[in-house]
Amino acid sequence: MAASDQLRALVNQMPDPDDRGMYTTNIDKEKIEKAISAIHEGGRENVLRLIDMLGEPGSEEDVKPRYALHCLTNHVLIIKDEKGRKQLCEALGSQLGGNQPKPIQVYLCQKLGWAGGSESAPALGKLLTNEDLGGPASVALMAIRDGATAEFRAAWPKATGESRRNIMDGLAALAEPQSAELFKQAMRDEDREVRIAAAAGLASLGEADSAELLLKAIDTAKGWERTQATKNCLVLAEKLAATGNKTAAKRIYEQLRKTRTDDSEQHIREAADRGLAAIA
Amino acid sequence: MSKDWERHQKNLSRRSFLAGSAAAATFSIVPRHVLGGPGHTPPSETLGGVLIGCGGRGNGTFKGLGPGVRRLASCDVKYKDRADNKTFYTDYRYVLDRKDIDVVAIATPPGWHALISIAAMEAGKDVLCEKPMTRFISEGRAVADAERRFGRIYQIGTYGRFGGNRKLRKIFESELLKRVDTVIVQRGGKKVKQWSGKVRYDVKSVPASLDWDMYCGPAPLRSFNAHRFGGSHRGYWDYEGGGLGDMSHHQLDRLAYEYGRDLTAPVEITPYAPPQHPEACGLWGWCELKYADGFTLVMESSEWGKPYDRLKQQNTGESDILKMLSDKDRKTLDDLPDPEPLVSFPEAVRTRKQAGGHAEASHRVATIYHLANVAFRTGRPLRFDPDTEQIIGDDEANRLVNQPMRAPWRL
Repeated sequence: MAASDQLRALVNQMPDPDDRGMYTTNIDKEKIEKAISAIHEGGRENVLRLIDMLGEPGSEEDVKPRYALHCLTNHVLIIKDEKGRKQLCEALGSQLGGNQPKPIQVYLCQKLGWAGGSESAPALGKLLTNEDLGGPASVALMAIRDGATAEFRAAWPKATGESRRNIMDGLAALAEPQSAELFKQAMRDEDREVRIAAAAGLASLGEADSAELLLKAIDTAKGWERTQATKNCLVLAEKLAATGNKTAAKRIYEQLRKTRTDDSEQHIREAADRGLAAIA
Repeated sequence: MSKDWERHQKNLSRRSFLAGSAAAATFSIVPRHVLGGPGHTPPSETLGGVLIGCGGRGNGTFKGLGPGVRRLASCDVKYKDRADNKTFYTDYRYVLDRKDIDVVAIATPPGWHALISIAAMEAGKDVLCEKPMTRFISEGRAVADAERRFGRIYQIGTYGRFGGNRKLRKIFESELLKRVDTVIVQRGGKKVKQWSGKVRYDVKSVPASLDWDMYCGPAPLRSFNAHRFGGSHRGYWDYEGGGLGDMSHHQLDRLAYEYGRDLTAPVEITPYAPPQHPEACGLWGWCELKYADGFTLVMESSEWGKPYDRLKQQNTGESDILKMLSDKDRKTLDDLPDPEPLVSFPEAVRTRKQAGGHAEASHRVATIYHLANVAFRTGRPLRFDPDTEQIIGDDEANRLVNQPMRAPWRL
């Protein structure tokens, strides 16, 4: 969709970078805000045209449309225009998975991570198994939260390689109870990063029946994974203690105290001692 | 087969020996090079250290670990061509797995500060971390949680509070003041233009010695732009918070200590700035941050827009604050003990006392400038809950309080 002359004129109101390529001179707040407000009035069509004006990141042609699109995305939040926000995010989402260059789709994912809501989750979800866009889509879904878990879970069976890490990481960050079984399965995954993410998610849920699995993970893990597994046990114990399940918390602390015998794990024994003292 | 006492000796970590030895008298006659003294550090008091992030501030930060720390390793993403995982590392996770490392100096770009600090404390190390402490608010909470959970020493690499007015601190610590009509206006010194990012730049190929993916770490993986690397990283939201993020910890550390702001945060934040760029940090005018007790802090850049004119600076000195107390309260104050002197990092490591610039206090300092930056970036006034550490009624602004990370990195 070609940009209209009017839109080009409005985008041209955005500041010119200084000699160093920075926005440090002649930054006119009122002028920028007025132009953004006018672009917003153009609705969906202006959003799509603005996307088409984006260029290669860092290039001269990209500078003003990139800034304008971000300002527009933020503008709907500032003026609390919920209808406008949804319309804008729907327009951004419609350009994902299509013919737009990958760097532009990455940018659109970032804008949805800034202002998107549950309405944006399906558009981002369809990118989760994409080798280049799965990462940015995952980060955007983590920011949005609402509706994200369902997208991650739906994409998981089809995912491979890096996508699996992104998805498990997203599920762990959201840590919703319906992911518990998937976390348990993923703790036996061949990929270390998937196992670590799954264990972190399980610990965040704070469920007592995860204790055995998380404690067992320390015995088999080495190096970084062992450190993370130990932390997960402490996190779970803290969560259990905070919700009144002192018996389950005590069992974890005692097990850590008994099994973390290396010189380098003195701080873990001490942490377990403090945990035990707190629930005594 | 080792005897019982040998096993006992082996089970004593170097750190527990150091802590215990402070209280224990010794009557053994030992050689000078073992005992230490001026110009001699006994081997038993030598700690193993690593510097993670070996750029401009690196060596200075490492020195802050104190005397008697032997640098056993250096870790930096620019060591790809020489990393042997013995002396030089590119991935901090490997060096933190070493049992002979006791203390860690961190001088990477701030986008890595929280994750490395946390990982180091999880591995049982004590941490001295260059300022600014973090990139966003949730990172600071996670660092403070790790400090508490693992019982480690953490000190931020700026020391303004160590020269702070202890009498002022005493007044605020006493909680005798319920309302504080103090307004502090800080003008300038933020290097806003200097630490701006580029919105127009050339994409270059990544230098062979640099692990660019690891450099970006939890932030988005972007094409290599030389300005994002080597000091000027300060101008990009991915790694820091511009001049405000870079300079404020210096300026606010002392103020937060003196005015008793170590356990709380502003509740109302009012920004004045032009719309911010999504990637490059840019100009701003001022930010007014008000605490629940009325204490107000204003940071003005003096590098853009109209000067701050909403409130006048007032009642900032010790005598002004004392006047806010009743005669009875002043008498009560006199009877209270003075604040304990702050403990330096080396002393904290030795005694296991909390360091003066510990994680909780540093996190609250960082929260001030992070909130200002969130307000600039979102372009709207914010209300913040110091207990939940969430912005009230603004889900999208909270996305900058707790920013998602690129896998496999997480808090």
